[in-house]
Amino acid sequence: MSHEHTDGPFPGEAEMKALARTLTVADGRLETPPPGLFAGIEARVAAEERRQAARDTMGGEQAVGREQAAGGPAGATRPRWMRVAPFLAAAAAVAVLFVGMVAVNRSDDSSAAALGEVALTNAGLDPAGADSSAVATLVELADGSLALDIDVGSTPPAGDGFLELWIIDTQVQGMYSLGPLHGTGRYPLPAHVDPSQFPVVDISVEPTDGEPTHSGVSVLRGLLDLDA
Amino acid sequence: MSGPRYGAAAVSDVRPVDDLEASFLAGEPDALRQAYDAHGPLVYTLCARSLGRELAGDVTQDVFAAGWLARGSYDPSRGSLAGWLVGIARNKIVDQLRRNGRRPASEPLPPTDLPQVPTVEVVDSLADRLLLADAMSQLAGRARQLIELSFYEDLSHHEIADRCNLPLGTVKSDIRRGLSRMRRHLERAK
Repeated sequence: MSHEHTDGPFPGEAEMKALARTLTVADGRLETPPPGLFAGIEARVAAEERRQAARDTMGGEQAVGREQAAGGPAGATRPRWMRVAPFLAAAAAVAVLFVGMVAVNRSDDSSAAALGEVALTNAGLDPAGADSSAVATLVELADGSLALDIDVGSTPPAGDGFLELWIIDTQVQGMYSLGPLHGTGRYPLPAHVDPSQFPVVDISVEPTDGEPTHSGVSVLRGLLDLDA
Repeated sequence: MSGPRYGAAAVSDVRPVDDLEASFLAGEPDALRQAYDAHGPLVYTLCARSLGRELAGDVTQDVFAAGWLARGSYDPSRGSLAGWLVGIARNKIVDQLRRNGRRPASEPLPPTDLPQVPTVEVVDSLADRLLLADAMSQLAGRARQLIELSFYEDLSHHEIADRCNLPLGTVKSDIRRGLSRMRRHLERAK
């Protein structure tokens, strides 16, 4: 919207007045975001800054030079990185906790190597799964195939439907079903699927309607961090 | 339009950058949290009413993460932080709407809401309305009252001055300052 050369008593006043007269009661009532969203924002920022730091390390002087040439905050990458360090430390502590839990659960399984894992949460999703939890671990099996190990802490209610496990791309555009979720267990990935392209682990409630696509009702979700 | 006219000289009355905008721009440690606390409901409401609540949380997280990482490109002289974040949200919502095919469908929108699949124009209009309502809610009490008289009761500044028993100059300057703030709020990131 441009107000630069609007005729009227004040630039843009006529437009604002017209707009104000279209306001509905709902427009003045903002919704409160569900709890837990902010932790996800910090996690995304931290993951992206880690990627940038890795790129800077690999790209050396050239990458830094480009950032400065582009008018970016020169020299800001390191301080920013350091500022999120407490959060990363906390995240790492949680991750270690989960690694410990998974290790206990899988102490009999020496043939699977964990490549990444994530706690699945209900933040921002269908409230039906509010009290549920699970941990997803991407594992590489001895034969080189990949699978998701799902540890269900508290099973989401599925009502008259069933739970289904998905891996989804970060655009929430492409996805693969790993099949109905039967609780804690191992769910093989289709061959030749690159899990780093589908890092979102998602558990949905599916109605028994024969429709093979995602219902849109996600109850648990997490983003696998597969950075090497 | 019945109100008195100001000369072009009145235009340059732009609100100084507020503390949050300055600390956000500087990347201060707590600024992301503060920006989320201040503008999270605005961004989330736009996402929820455009895409449904199923996707709103995810897109809201994207908006703030992307905004924080791109904060160097935020220019306070061109508009408010709220408007800038809403502009990012608008672009992400439009991207999301343009995607088709196999993706989790959004939940049915609440009854007070817009058509099931909003158009870009509907999202733009909603973004502008939410920003305007947000801007008006943040005006100081008297400026808000005077602007509401001007907007909704179509009173001239003279009539408002009479009605409120205020000097004309006070009415004019209050309204001008209020409109200036509102206009700044409505400047969305492209």
